[in-house]
Amino acid sequence: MDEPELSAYIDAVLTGDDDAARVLVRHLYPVVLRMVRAHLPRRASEEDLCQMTFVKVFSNLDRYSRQVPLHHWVSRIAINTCLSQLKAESSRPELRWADLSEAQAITIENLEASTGELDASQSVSSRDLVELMMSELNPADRTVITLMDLEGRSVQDVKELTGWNASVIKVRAFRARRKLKSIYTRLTGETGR
Amino acid sequence: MNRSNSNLDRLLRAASRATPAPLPTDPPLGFEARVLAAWHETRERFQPNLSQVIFKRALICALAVMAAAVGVGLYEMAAPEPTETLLATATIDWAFD
Repeated sequence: MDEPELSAYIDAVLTGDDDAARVLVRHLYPVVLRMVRAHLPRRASEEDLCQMTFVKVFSNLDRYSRQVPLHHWVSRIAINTCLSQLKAESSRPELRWADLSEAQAITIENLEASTGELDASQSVSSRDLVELMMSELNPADRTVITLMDLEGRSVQDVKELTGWNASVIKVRAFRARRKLKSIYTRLTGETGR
Repeated sequence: MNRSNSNLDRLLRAASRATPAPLPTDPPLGFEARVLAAWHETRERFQPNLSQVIFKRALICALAVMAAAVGVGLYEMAAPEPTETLLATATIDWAFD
């Protein structure tokens, strides 16, 4: 669906057309779900977060300026919805070696034992491990690591998606990596590695 | 870059290579209906009813009338006394002197 077509549906939704709203939900669902899955707070259900995002999208549709693509605007709302949810989950328990699964523990052991890249079979356990480590970070730090390190997005992309300015993003990324590093060091230190 | 930082970088690189689970192209059954119901509920909750609108307008009118009354009162207090009053006052003062 191209932007003029989307624009026509937006106009229809603004006049109260529920069928047009259904079309927009079906069209935007994969975009919202992808963002929600990448930034999902621990205790939230992805369907509830998707629903919250869509309600915010429709409630604020009259403020959408149409100067940026609709997907960008919706992605930004999805990220901010997840960030608010993460902020609500204030407790961030400290991760211990005993909390790791066997696969995650093996991943750390492999990292410590060699200097080469981990092989592809360990990418899922690495991802799970990073997710666990990120649960100790604050929502903004977690978002910046997810977008830049896990999704490989540029500072400009992060700027568009979050509305933060470039220097804030760089500083936040630096601090977030430093915190992750200290969590990693703590984990490896627990086993005397 | 020290050793554990380099390990962290390798961990992050490996994590970024994890293929995300395939995304469903369609929303779950009944999802659109739930979104629309929640949206309508939010809209109704934040839409003021008729009595609230009337009360709000009446309050604005009352405040405008009060402001106008205060303005006129201040203007009259600040304005000089009319010439007739001054003449009468001067005549009375002259008669009693």
